[in-house]
Amino acid sequence: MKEKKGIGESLGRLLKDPSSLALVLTSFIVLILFVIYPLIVVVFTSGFDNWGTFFSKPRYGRALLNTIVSSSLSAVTATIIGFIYAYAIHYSNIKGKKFFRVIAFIPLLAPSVMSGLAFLLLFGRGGMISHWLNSVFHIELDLYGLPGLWIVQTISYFPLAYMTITGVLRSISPNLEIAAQNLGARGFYLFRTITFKLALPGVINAFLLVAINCFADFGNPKLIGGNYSLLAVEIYGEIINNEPGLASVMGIILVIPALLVFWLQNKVLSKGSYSTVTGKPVSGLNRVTTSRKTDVLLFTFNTIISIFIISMFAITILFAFTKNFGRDNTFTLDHLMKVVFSSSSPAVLNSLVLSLVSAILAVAFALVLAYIVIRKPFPGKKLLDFSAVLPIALPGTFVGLALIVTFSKGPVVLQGTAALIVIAMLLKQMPVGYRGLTASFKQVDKSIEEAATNLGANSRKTLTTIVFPMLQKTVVANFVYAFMKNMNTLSTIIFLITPKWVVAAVSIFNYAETGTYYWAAAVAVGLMGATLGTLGVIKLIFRSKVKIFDF
Amino acid sequence: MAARKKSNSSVIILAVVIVVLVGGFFLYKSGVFGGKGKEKITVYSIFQEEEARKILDKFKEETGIDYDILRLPSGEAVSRVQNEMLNPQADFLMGGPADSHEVLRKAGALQAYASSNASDVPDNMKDKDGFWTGFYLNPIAIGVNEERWKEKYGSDPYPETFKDLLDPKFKGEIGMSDPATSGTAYTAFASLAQVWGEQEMLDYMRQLLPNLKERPKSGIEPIQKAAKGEYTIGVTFLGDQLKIKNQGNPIHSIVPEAAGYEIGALSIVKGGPNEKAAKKLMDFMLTNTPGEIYTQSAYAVSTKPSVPIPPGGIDIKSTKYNQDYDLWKAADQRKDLQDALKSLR
Repeated sequence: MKEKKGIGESLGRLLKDPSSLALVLTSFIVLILFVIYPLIVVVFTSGFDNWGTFFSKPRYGRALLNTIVSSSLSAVTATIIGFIYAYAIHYSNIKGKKFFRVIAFIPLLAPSVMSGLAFLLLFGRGGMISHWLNSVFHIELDLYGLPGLWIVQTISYFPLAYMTITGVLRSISPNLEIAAQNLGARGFYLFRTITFKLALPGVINAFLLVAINCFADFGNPKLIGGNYSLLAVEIYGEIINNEPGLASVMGIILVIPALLVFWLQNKVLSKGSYSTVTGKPVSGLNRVTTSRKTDVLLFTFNTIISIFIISMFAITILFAFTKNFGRDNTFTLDHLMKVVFSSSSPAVLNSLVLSLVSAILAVAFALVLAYIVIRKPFPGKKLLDFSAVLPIALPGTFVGLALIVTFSKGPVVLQGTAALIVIAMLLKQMPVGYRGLTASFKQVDKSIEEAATNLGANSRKTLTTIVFPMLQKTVVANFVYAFMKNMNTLSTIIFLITPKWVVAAVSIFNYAETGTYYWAAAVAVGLMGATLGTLGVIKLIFRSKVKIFDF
Repeated sequence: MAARKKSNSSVIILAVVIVVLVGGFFLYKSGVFGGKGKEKITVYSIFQEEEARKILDKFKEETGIDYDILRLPSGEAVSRVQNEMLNPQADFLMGGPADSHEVLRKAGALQAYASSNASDVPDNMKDKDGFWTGFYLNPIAIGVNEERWKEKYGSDPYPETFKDLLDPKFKGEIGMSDPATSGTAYTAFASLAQVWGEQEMLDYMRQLLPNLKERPKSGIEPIQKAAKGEYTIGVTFLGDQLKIKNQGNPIHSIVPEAAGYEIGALSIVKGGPNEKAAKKLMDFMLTNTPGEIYTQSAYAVSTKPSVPIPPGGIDIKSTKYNQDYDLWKAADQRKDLQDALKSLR
């Protein structure tokens, strides 16, 4: 049977299927209201005057330049470190690979500001290591500004690069390397001509991803940027000075490179951006491995990086459980009781609840969207698809800005509600799930559903009995990913929190900024505990069906 | 097949548990459970959360009223309260310079409440209609790093007046924040303009510029850097200096003649969700206990004469600060003076 095409035909079929019609309409309403409409409002809020102000004041130009310089630097180093780290795990014979994998995973548990916080505790003006250097060698460490930012962003984003590159390395077939070796290629020559060449698209992709993340990073620059001012921080300043117009101008400027990268990824590197989800390891042949000398080097390298990461977590934990680490090392649960388990500061509990709600909604919505986009014919499908993936390209700061500018005035007022926080988190995570689910949907052959339909099942029955069970793995994986990201998000929701709904990442940031480090550390520990606990429960329920700690 | 069934039913159980817990939490948050006994007040705090929490915990202990708190810088607090005027989220605004509260009063965002406990707060430290009431005051002071002074200037006497800072020997040795962005530095220059006249103040600033190492954005930074030995002298609020001194840094503070001062104020947000509790909190804040908690931790001086000076603090009445400093005038002149100061190079 040939499918009939044309708008009239597809509309007609949709009208005959009321449940699908409802799904399509809801999806359109949600995406237009929360993605398209805020974008339009932001563009209108940035009036001509504000564009003039932006380009006439050297201050903003410098912030833009600083942002470009620091993100590029951090992205280069994070990608290099990520590559070497991944290469060591996949190509060498070093011991402790499992350990190194876990180490690269744990930064994902922590909010990005936590690396900034840990850096302050170690290398800040009064930090542990700076203090020690000063008293022993009389070296005064002042890493505020670009150097500190560079180090912190490198460390906090290298796991992202690592995961992206791992996906690519796994999918490289050993055949080519073995063939090259048989033809006489050895050592670095083999690496340069074969392995690296094959991995290059993934490496570029990792670089772009990290660069965009650094570009939009807000917490770290605010904490350790010092006088080195960045765009995301300037946006925050203009929002708190009640200058939404100027903030919108900068928001738009922040979005441009992100959109460019997004476009590049789709056009040039259409593969590999979520290779951690889709990349399949190649089994069978054993690949060529490194020499003993290289192994030693790689092992040393990974150990150094691991020590860095471990010490960041260790110092945070030490601060959380002592009265005032360095001055008074008495063990105490006081900080945790005060800022994690107290009824007047349920920041961690708030984070947990909002993240769960938002992650569930995000996955459910992604499921609906993927289903109707792949399976149902209807007009405006391209628009729906575009607005569903668009938020991936928008930096968190911009999403938060757009939501606050749009929903604090006008026909729909949501300012000061928990709903707005949930929506902000949902917008950032839903597209990832949507992409994954459309891919899985494509893998489920349509004929199975058609068979069910022929046997008399309606849409809903087909979905619940045939399609969803087959998607369970992707759904759970996406839920876990969305939940973890929600727990740690800062820049997206910093403008949206209310006194009732203070979330943990914002608390950490506030306490760190005002120098109350032990509270910041306590909230960070509480947040990671809550994330781990929830993941543990999920793991208990799904057992081997989900791989949470193994990327 | 059995395994699938089992996992499906556990998924359903999990879903139900999550829905019940999350739903319950939302209902709890919106005050459905707990009945009327559970009052909760929402506070925007401009002063440090640690001090605010100490005071609010005490308040909770005494009245049983729980609290939600959000700490904000003063600029953000002002714009939040103003933006939320149609649907106020907070009940109480705690701390922050009185001119911020004055901005909100003019915008009509505050609720007048003359607490009977405010009677001993001097008239120049509260709004006459009770829209805001001063809680602490903090004069401008010259902070000298004693170690660095000894290295550079030996046994020379410390500068006692603002004019002493013009001495060429201090070239590049003084830190003061930028009056265009920092309330601290603005307070200093606004007071000088009131005492000396605007022209003389501007002349003074012009002569002072070569001695300034830098002009950071935030008010507290100069003394932090002076304490670290990056320069010898930092001009900031006295409380910041005492706090740093009491952390073990060699800082000597002098409050010079004509030094202006900041009044940290309290106010009630108009139309907030829990006005009754806000009034109770205002009454409580103006008793001695909160004043003591605050002064002992932030080293500012209470507006209430009955609150003692904390150990390590300085009684500002014994100093030469400008008692006639008119913050209303300073608030009115703000834009003009800042523009004039900005154009000095």
